[in-house]
Amino acid sequence: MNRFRLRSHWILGLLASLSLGVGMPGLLWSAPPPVLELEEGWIVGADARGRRVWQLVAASVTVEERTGVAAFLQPRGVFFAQDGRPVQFRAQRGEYGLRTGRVALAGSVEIVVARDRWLRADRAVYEGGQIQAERVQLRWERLQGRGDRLLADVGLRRARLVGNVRLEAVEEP
Amino acid sequence: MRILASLLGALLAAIPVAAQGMIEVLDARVAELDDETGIWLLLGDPVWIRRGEAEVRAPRIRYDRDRRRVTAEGGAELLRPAERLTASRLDYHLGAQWLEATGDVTVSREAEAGTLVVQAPYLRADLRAHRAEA
Repeated sequence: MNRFRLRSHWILGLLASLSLGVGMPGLLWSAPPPVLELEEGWIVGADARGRRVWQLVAASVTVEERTGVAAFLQPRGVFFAQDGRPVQFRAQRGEYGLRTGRVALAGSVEIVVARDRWLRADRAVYEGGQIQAERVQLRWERLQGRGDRLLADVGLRRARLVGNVRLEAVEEP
Repeated sequence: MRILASLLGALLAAIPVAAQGMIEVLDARVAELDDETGIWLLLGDPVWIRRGEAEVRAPRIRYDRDRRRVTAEGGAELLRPAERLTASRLDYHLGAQWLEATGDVTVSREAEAGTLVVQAPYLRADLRAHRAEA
C-alpha cells in the first residue's frame, strides 16, 4: 500500500513521501533545491531554481507516492508573482503534482491579488506563473467580467477570456 | 458635396453627446485584456460593445481604455435609436465624441418623412459640433 493517509501525523508521512517522490539526491547538499518543503506549518512549493512560488495550509493532506500527487482539503495560501507580490488563494480541494509542479484547485476557487482585483472560478490550475481557470468571474478595478475559460498571469495583469465572454466596465473619469 | 455635408449634419444632429458611463461587452468569443496598455481586443461573431444607447458590432473590436477609443473592423455597425451606420471600419472616440468610418459607409435614419440614407466611401463626424463630412 503506497498510500499515506495524513492527518494528525501528516508531517512525518509527507516528509517520507516527498523524499521518495523527489528522490534521494534531494538529500545531498549539492543536489537541486527541493520542490516541496514544510516550513512552520506551511507546505511550500519552489521552482527549479529554489525560488518560493507558493505556500499553503490545508485541513488535510494525502500524498500518493505512486502518482506523485499531494491532495489537499480546503487549501488556502499564497502564490508568489514573479516580482514577489503575494496573491492569496483558497478552494475546497487542491492537488499538487510532485513531478509536474502544477497546483490544481477545485470548488469555489478564489484568487485574490487585491480587494478590487480577483477571480472566482470552478477550477483553476497554477503552473509556471500562469493561471488557467474554468467558469470564471473576474474583477479588475472598474471592470467585471466572466467567461468559460481564462488564461492569465498570476498577478492578473493580462488575461485572455474565452467562450461566452461578457464584460462591464465603468469608464475612467 | 456641400448638400451632402448639410444632410449628414442634419442626420447626426440628432445624436446626443454620450455621457460618461458604463461600457458593456456582449457575445465575445475571446477577450484579451492587458492592464498595462489598457487595450482590450475583442473577437466575436459579431461581438457587441454597448455604451448608453449606442452599440457597435463587429467581428473584431479593439477598445483603448485610456484613450477611450473603440476601433471596429471586419464589417462594423453602429446602432442608435432610429439610426444605423455600417462601414468596413469604424473609429469612435468616446471622449472627444467624434467618429470616422471608412469603406462602403452607409448611414440611415428613420424620420417622419421616411428613411434618410447617405452612402459614401468615407465619413468623419464631430458629434459635439453636429458636423460631418463625407
